[in-house]
Amino acid sequence: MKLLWSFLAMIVPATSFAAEAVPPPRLGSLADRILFLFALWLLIVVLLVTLRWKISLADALFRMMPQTKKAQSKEAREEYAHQDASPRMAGGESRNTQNPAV
Amino acid sequence: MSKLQDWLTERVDLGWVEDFMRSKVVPHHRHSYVYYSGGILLLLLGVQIITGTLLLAYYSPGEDTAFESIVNLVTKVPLGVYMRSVHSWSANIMVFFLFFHLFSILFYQGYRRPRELTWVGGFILLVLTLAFGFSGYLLPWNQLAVTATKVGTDSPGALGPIGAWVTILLRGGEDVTGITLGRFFALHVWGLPLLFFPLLALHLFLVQAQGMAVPPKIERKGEYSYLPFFPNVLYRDLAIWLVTLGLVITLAVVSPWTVGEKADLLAPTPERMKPEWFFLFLFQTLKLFPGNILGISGETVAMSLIILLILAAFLYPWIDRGAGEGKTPFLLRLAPYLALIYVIGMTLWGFLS
Repeated sequence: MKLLWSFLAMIVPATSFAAEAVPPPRLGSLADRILFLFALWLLIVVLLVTLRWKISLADALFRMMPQTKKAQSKEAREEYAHQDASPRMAGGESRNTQNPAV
Repeated sequence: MSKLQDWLTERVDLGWVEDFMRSKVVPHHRHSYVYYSGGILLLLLGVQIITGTLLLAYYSPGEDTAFESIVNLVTKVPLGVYMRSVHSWSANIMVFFLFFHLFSILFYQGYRRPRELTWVGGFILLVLTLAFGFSGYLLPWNQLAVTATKVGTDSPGALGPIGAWVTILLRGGEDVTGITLGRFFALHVWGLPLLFFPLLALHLFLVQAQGMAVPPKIERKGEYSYLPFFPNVLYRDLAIWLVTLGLVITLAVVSPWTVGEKADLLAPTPERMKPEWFFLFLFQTLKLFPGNILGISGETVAMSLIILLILAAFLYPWIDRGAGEGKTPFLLRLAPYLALIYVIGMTLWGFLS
C-alpha cells in the first residue's frame, strides 16, 4: 500500500495533496507574542535587580564577619584548599568544623 | 513552620544537610565565572525533564503515529508548540554549555589529581547527552530526522563486523524503519536516563566532596578567596538561571521548531545532507579523508582515528599527569586550544560547505 502511495505521489500533481498539508502551528498572534516577551523580560529585569541588591548585601555581610578576614589569609586558604581536595570518603574530616571561611 | 520542622526532625534528622549547606564554599577569583556552567547545565536538564514529561503525554511512538502526534501537539494542544520548542532549544543550548564546561575544565586543568574520576564521569555524561540528542532527533519522524539517522547509524559500519553489528543493533534491521523509531524512543525516555542519572549523582557527589578546582596559575599565586555558597553564590546562580531561562523561552517564541515533512522511507537520501550542529565537526572530518588509504577504506581510518582521539580525551587526566605539579609538557598545554580551534573551524566549515 505504501509503495502504491509513493508511486501515486510521483504521478499526481502536488496540488492534489493540499488536504494532506500540515496545518499551521498554534502560535498565537504576533502582538500576543511580543507582549508576552516584553512581560517576561520585564519580570526578569526586576528579579535581576533584586538579586543584584541581595548579592551586594550578602557579600557585604560576609566581609563584615570577624572570621572572614582570618579565613581569607594565605595560611587559612592553603589549609582549606588541602581539605577541599581531600574527599571525606577518604577519611578526611567533615568540612563543617574545618571550614575557615564561614 | 517551626512546628513542621520539629515534626520532620523527629522523624528524619536532616541536620547534616543544613550543616553542609552552611559550610559549602566556592573558590572566588577572576575566572570563577566558569563554575556557573555546571549550574546552567543542571537548570537545562530540569527544563528537559519537565518539558520532556509533558511531551510524553502527547507523543505516540510508531511509524504511523509519531509524526501525526507531533502535528497534533503543535496545532491543537494549547502551548504545545512552545513546549516542544523549549525542549528542543534547551537541548541545543545544553549541548553548547556542555562543550563550554568541558573546555573550561581542560583549559584550567580541573581534571588534575584528585579529580580524575569527576572528569571521567563528566565525559561519559557528555557522550550520553549527545546520545540523547541523536535519539531525540528521530522521534518527530520527519524526513530530515530519518535521513540524519540513516547517515548517523551508517557511520559505525566503517569499523568492520563489530561496527556493522552496532548499526543493525541500533536500527533493528538493515534499514531505518519503525523498529528504529521504537528503539530510539525506548533509549531516549528510559535506557539513557537509567545510565545518565546515577552517573550524574556520582558526578555531583564527587564535585561536592572535592570542591571546585582552582586554576593552577591562580592557585600558585594565591590570587583567590572563598565565598559561601549559601547565599552568596546561590544568588549569582539564580541570576544566571533567570537569563538562561529567558533566552530559551525567547528563542522558542521567536523561532519555534518546525514540524517538517513526514518521513518517506522510500525517498532517496538527499545529496547535501548535514547532521545536527554538534556532530558537524565529526561529519566534516569524515568527509576530509580520501576513499582509500594504503588499501584500507578512508572511512575506516577516519572512524578509528576519531575513536582513538575520543579515548585519549577520556583518559586525559592520566596523559597529563604532571598537571598537579605544574609540569604539563608544552604540547599537552597546547592540545586543548588546538582541539577547540579544530571543533569550531570544522563546524563552521560544515555549515558553510
